[in-house]
Amino acid sequence: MWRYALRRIAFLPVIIFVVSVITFVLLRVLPDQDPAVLMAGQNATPQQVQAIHELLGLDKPIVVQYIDWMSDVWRGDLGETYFGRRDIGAEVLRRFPASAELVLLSLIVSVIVGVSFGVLSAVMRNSSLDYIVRLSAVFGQSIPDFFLLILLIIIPSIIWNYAAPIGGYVAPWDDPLRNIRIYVPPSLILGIGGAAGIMRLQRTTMLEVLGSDYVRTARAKGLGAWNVIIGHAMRNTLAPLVTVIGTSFTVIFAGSVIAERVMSIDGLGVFFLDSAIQRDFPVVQFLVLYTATVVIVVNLIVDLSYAIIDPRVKYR
Amino acid sequence: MTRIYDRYLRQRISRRRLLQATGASALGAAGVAIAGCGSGSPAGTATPSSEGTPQPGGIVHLRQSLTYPNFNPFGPGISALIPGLFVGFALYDHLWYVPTDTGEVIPFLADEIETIDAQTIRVTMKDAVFQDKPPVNGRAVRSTDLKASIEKFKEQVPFGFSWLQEVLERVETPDDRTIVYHQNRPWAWFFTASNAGSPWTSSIIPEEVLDQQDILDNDPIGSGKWMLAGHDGGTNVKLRKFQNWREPGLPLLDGVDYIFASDDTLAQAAFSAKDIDRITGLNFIERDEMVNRFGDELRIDSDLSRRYRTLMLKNEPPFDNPQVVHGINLALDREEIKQVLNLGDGELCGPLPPAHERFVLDENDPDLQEYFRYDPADAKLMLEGAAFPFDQEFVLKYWALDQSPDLVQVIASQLQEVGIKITLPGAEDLTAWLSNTLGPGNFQMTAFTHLPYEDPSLPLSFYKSPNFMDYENPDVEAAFLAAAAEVDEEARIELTKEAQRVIIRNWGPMLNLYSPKSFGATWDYYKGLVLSRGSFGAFNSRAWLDKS
Repeated sequence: MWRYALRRIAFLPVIIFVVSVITFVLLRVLPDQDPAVLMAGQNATPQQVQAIHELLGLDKPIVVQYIDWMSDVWRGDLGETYFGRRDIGAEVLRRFPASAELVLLSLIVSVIVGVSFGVLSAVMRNSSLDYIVRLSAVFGQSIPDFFLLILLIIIPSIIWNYAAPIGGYVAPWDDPLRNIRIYVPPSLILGIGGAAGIMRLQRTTMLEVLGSDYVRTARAKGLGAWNVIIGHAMRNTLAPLVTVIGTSFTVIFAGSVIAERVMSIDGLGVFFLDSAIQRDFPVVQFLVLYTATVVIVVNLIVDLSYAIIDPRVKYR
Repeated sequence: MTRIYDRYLRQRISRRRLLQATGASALGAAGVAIAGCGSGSPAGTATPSSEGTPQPGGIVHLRQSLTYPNFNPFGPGISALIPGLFVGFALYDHLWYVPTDTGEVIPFLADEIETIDAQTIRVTMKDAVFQDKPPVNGRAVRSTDLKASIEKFKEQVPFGFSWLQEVLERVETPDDRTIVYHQNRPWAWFFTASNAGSPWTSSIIPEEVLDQQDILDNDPIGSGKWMLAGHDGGTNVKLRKFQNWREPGLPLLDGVDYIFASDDTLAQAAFSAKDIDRITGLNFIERDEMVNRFGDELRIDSDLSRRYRTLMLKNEPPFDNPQVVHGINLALDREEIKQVLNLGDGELCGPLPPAHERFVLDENDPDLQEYFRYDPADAKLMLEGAAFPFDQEFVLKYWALDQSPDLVQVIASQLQEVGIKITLPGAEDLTAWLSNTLGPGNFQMTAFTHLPYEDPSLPLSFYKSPNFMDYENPDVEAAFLAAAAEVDEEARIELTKEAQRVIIRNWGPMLNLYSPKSFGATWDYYKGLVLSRGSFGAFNSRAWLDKS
């Protein structure tokens, strides 16, 4: 397994290189994407635009620009934003906890809700609960997150004059209550959206497993219902479950951009969105690279976890 | 509930009051966050006695809807507009300000203002000091700071500052407290133009930091009533009282905490929870809902914005024909546009937005009535008479926010009714639209919402050459310059009205549609506000919190 893992890790730089090249080139070849034009303003002379090109290094050949940027990133120097000249590394570090907490909490909500209701739905097949869970899963997958988020802002506001606190990130160890109040609405929405897929898959897989011979044998031996489900059936549902959790992570990761925007959470998603609109190339390039790395690493972890979940899986 | 409605109805505002009500909260994108900065009565103006005795202290919480990339008022280009406006309102001092309702010059740092002749103005400054941060270290404000600031702004501003770029010849500083402006011709809009219609380029910055980008970006040093106390990468900005401000004991508040809320719904929820103390930009449904929920706890104000929506045509065939422009104007149903975009709230807008009340044409003026006339049948006849190419497709460009996508949809549908074929491309980002479409005049038609100009000459200067439309008309130019040269205010008001008539009669290719109206809500404990005087209220230092 370790050889497989090392091989996958060895591919990481190749994938990152390809992603970075594609991003780098696309940002520069698409029409109306010149940040110097945006920065210079509407009646700038070509000389002023050229001066900004030189200042930002955009006058160099694209290959030279790429090598310069990549070597800076490799040294840990992410550069400055084009707009505002802020240190990108410092901004990323400042915003990372807000985004990471949102994604992590959403994933936890999504797994807890998805797995538990998926199991309950399978065990209580064709019951009222089963229908409610299946219906909720359809709603969860079909209603956009941002709409649910807005409802979650409006309804408590109208009924209780309540609003989730805004005004900056507060770490859980600094003010746990405020932290929870900030993150409960977006985590619930993103998590429940992600839970829908997990719930459906968990139900289907669990139904299949519950009908298998070894489960029938366990029951015949007199084991309790929950003992059979948790101790015997559950483990065999984990492999597909881990796959779909990996997919949910990517969906939540993407959804967090909108959630951050709606909830005014000053995280990496908002940073990416604003920078993309302003053609702030170094920020967009780095955040695409970061996102690609995170997704690849999560997929690698998912792949490796198969061997732990199912000893029959062998990596060569 | 009836009581609440009765109370609300009693405080409804007359049309005249509405016309005066210009946007303290509506300085375009930047100003939405800035304007609340200290809305209240200006220094020297008493708080209404009905609000009780002002108490010093407390931090007011206001909404910030945009991230400031930095706090540098200097370029490159238009990128400095948003931070420049914010620091101009919040951190830097200015010589004076001219509220839009009266046109009266209210001295700020200026002590004496002497018009030596039509082209020369001498100003003596009051004593004031900068904030105590290195390298300035709390030293006195000198006239050379103002001179250096003006000269740097003159180098840097990108567009539309014709007084700075064309009229202001030089600035002299005979001593540390005196500054003399020399203009190359009389310019009657001097007092508003020297604030450039907004307090961006009139900011007084210590001369020794003008080239220190790091300080300007991150830790600006001004002599205004607030000091920058902190922020999270340009959001959640915290301002604290400058204890040595030139007005002892003011501001009354200890500070302003801006709470970043980019989403309107979230901001309204935060206001309902009293996490922020004032909210603006409500439509009448939202206003009624707030009144229903909170009744006496709230004060509601209305704001007829100086912003205005417009359709701009490039002055090239077929739009270089005044008959075509007239025909297009007849095809535009401004009332419908207002209904679709603002639920009917707002005022139709002639060449000048109605908020510049003293300068706008009377609603019975025949030229203005023709400007507002909607007659699609007549429009079609007029376009046919001008041999309009009905088989040609015209591209109507726009930017992504501020209801521009809705605006172009309605305009396109109205023009299509008279047979004009319109193509709507994808929306552009604002900065891209400014740089690629409006700035270089790269459009056939474009529709957008103007910034809330405080100087009445600015909306008219769009028809003066050079302009985005490549429009040149000697009569319009002469009328504009005649108004700008007239120093007697009453005479200038008449000349400004005449300039508007000339623009209408010549069918200048920018057709203004309407100014939107919105509502603000303030918790009753936040007192001493000055509203509806342009951005004047943003300089108020007597707002206070009554939480006793």
